[in-house]
Amino acid sequence: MTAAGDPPAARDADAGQPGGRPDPAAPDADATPEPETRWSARDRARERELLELIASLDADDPRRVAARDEIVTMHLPLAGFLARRFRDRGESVEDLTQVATIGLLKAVDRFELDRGVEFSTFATPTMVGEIKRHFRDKGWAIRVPRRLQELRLAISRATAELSQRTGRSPTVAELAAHLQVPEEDILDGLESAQAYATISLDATAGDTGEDGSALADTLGGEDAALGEVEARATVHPLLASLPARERRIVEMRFYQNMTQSQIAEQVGVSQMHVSRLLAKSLAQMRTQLVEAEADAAALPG
Amino acid sequence: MPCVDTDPAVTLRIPAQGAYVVLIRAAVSAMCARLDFTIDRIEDIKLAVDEAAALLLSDALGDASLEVRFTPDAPDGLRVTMACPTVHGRRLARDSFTWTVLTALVDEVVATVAPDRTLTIDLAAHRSEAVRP
Repeated sequence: MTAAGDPPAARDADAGQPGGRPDPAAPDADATPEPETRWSARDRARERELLELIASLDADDPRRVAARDEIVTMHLPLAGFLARRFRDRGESVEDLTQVATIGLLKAVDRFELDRGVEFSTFATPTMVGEIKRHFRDKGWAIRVPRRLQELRLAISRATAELSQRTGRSPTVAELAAHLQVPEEDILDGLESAQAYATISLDATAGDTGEDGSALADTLGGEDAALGEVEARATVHPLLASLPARERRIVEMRFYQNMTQSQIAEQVGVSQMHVSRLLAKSLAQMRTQLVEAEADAAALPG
Repeated sequence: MPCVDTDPAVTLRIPAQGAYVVLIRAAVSAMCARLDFTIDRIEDIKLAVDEAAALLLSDALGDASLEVRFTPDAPDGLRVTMACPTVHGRRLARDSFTWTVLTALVDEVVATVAPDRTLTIDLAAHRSEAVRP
């Protein structure tokens, strides 16, 4: 580990440990001050005690839960430290800290005492991995240039502002005029918001169109009533597999026929974010359909 | 700027592989912007085109091309016709996930299978919200 990337708890004991190299994709951490907390011998002893307790107790034992909470709390500064390394990438440090904390919880559950590794050494890559997965899920796996990220944010703000003014979502021409940039830049910015789409399309085989699933029952159409029960049975597990917010957004768009802007307002995120979540959810549902079909192995034709 | 009635059709032909779908998206965006569609509308149409492309690519013949034709649809719409030779020539079922998504996102969906198993998906979208000229 380099000094700059060194988490506090790993400072002395892990100087020579492998596995903690700074993430080459992460921005320079030079400017990021390390957490203030010093790691005393007493802390270290307490950490050891807690880890032993966790290892020895059943998962649902309240004492284990308490020990887990305490060890997570002890390492929260580390989670925050790692989260800050990924700031300026379009996600708030608060969100990233939460994501890192999830990684921290996973690390607690997976840690093996007898491997002779410091907990923080073990937990750091787990937390970084969780953050990177978060970005990947959010669709930022393709590195979006800073200029486009800023543009995307500017477009997002302008979209909200113009929508409020006119009561509808703006056109590309209106956004370009408002931000005083060429229309082409607006198109670039919109596409960068969807950068993940190329991935999801590569990654999924797509729907074969032979399955019985549909959200169609509430959308009208003469065939909608046909096989409604079956369709509901297929689509509900798909919907249920989405995170709550995504599910709500899909339902609002496809069941309640709300526009992306209306959804954005109601959910409290930007229209571009709604668009991104919709595309991601559809891709995810599509993948699951294909998997479900493969499982059923009953493809006609 | 929009001059739908006199705009000529535009045809884009790409290898039937996921990596090229981004080109269709870019073309859709540019065409929609030209027609003064709102951002909401553009994103819906892009989602629909993604979905249609995913369906077509899932069953595309090995070295097939995906042809995308953009036609101005008077008075204020855009028609996107995507066609690709497929292995099975399956029709697009009306109770399928894809159909549902497409019909929710655009105004008109027509899917046809030619005798040579070329699947064609035709999407038409109109400028739904009043935009001041």
